[in-house]
Amino acid sequence: MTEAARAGIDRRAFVTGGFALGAALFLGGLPAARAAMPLPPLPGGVLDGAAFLALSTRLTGHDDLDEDLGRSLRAALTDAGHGTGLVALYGAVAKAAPDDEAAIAAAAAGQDAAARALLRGWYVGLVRMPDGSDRLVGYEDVLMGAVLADVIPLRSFCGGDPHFWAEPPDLDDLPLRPRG
Amino acid sequence: MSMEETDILVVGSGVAGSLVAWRLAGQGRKVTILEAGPRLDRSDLVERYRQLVDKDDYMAPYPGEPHAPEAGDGSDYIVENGPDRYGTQYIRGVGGTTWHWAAASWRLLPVDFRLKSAHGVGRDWPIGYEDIEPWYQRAELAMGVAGPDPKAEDLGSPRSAPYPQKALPLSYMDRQFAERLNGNGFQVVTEPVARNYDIYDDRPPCCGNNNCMPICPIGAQYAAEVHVAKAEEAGARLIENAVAHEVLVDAGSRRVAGVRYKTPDGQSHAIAAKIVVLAANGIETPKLMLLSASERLPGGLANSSGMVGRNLMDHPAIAVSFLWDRPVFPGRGPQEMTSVVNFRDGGFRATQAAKKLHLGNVADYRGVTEALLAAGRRGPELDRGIRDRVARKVAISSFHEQLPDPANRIRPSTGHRDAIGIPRPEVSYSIGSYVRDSAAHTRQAYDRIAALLGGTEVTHGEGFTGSSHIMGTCIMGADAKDSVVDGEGRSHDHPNLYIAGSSVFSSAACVNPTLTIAALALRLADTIGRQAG
Repeated sequence: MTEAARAGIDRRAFVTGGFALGAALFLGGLPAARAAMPLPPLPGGVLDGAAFLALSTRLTGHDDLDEDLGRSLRAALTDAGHGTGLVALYGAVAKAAPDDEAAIAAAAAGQDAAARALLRGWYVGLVRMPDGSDRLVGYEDVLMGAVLADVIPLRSFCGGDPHFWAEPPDLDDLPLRPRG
Repeated sequence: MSMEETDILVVGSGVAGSLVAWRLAGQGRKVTILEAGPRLDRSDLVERYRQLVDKDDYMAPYPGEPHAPEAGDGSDYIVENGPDRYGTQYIRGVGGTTWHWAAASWRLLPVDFRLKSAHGVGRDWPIGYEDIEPWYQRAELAMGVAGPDPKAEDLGSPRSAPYPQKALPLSYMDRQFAERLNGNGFQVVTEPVARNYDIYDDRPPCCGNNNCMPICPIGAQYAAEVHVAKAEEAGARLIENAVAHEVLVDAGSRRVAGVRYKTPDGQSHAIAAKIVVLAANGIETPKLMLLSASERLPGGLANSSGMVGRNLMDHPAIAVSFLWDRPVFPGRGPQEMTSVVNFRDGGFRATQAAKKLHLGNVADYRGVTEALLAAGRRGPELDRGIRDRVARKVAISSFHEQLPDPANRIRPSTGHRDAIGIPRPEVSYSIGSYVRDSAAHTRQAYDRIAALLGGTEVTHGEGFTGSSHIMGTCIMGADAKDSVVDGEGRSHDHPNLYIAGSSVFSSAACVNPTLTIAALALRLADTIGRQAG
């Protein structure tokens, strides 16, 4: 995500009642046609870039995933030995109804290692390799920064006009800790 | 011996060496600077940071060179002999370690110069606060320190003039921190910083990149490269990738005559000098002096006292983190803006270390996200958790004053050498009960602070970490029998050898040493300028 795109996120959309996130980012807010669209069968059993993004959208709930990051992540996951697991994960998730979060979660649990690695890649930008090291697949576009883009500038990028930090972020209501 | 000659040879291009070189080159002196490492490029460093796996490793963007290895977590350059780990970091490159620092620019308290007299422990400096105050002011001007209005906030160090820049406004979080703690057993003040409020010295104002460490992307934060460039503009010559390994002494007198240095190919070169200033930090400077031992000087250069390399100090730190009871958004603005200062002095200093506590203004994206992923959070629940916890997770750290102890020391290793054959530093180090007892009280203070802020999930860090404030190893004193330099920074043993940097500190106090390093360096330059002129 570019800085311009990050700045362009509608801040108000993030806060709909306390600390709720703007629905636009999540499954419930996906365009109806895409959200309801089942994952198609893999052509030749190969998880190509489009299929990887579709699977990732289903697992993360984000439909604006960065394609370049997706390419790097898919390559790293393959190098890390998750290729077969990802194909199996795709097959399991494809059987779940698109709007059935519990079924998707259960499918992911069946391929836990691949699912966890995929989510860590998208959120943190790191993939654990067989030798125990981490490979960086992205920074600017990873989801842990994106979900806070209206609140906290991503480190090393200019946060705004000088002294902007004196005030809290421009939110309708300060986010509240989830209760209960 | 036929060799290149200079008036003043400065070893090291960090904040101390660059300021000395700038002042003396500006007076028309022929100045040469030797720097062990290469020139560094800010945009390269920023890009390296963004490509890092571990963005909390502040040394990682500075990989070091085989001929000038650096000290840091991933490096075995410093040989640690224990019993405690010293765990320091420093950059060997043009500009030195001010490439990554929090820009905290504290003056010492007047009592910090009289620790022995006031509290019966440690040492007194041979100079007092009033002797250095004019140079504190000049250092603040040179670095562009932004600090609070003395009428509004008294930082305990008398001033002859206001700060050159207004204090940057506190972050929302820091303001909440100060409001909740002040009047409840703590004194929270605005930290003076060498970071631009506005355009200053052709550098831009801070725009909250929140990346002061490991690298300010825009140069709003002072780094010694500023005065390296000014020194070169004034005529100083910088020789990069030149690793000093021996200070030469005149055959017929006690005067130093020059320095031998190695280039990355392992070849040795020499340069003659009328005056030598060692400013290579608190480990490399004493190592070089001890490596310069000879038949005439079997204990090493300037070491008739036996104190070179001894009295190694740091500010041992302990940390705490917790979830504040409300979102305060750490990560907006510079990384450090306030400090708790009511433990900087008091009767307790007779038995326990003084300390300063500081709130970090950094968002723990990765720690929070990894923990939530490991706990099985997914989808909107994961995103809500990240937003909630990152906006509330805060951390506080501390600097504890360490006393000078001759048993804490650095020596050239006899068994370990670097890639060009120079012995690596070997450190023997113990933290001691003076610090440990104070740290036990610090943990209690952390718990009280957490309670005031409605904190939950209070997590105390395990053990001490180093603060990379390397002090005491060429200690300053009035008595040549137990100190290395006099109150001007001149060697007791060699009339034309000076030492700049925190290695000369007689007491560590509990604040970041850089401004005092800068003030002493400017004072030393004026001393040399008067004598040489």
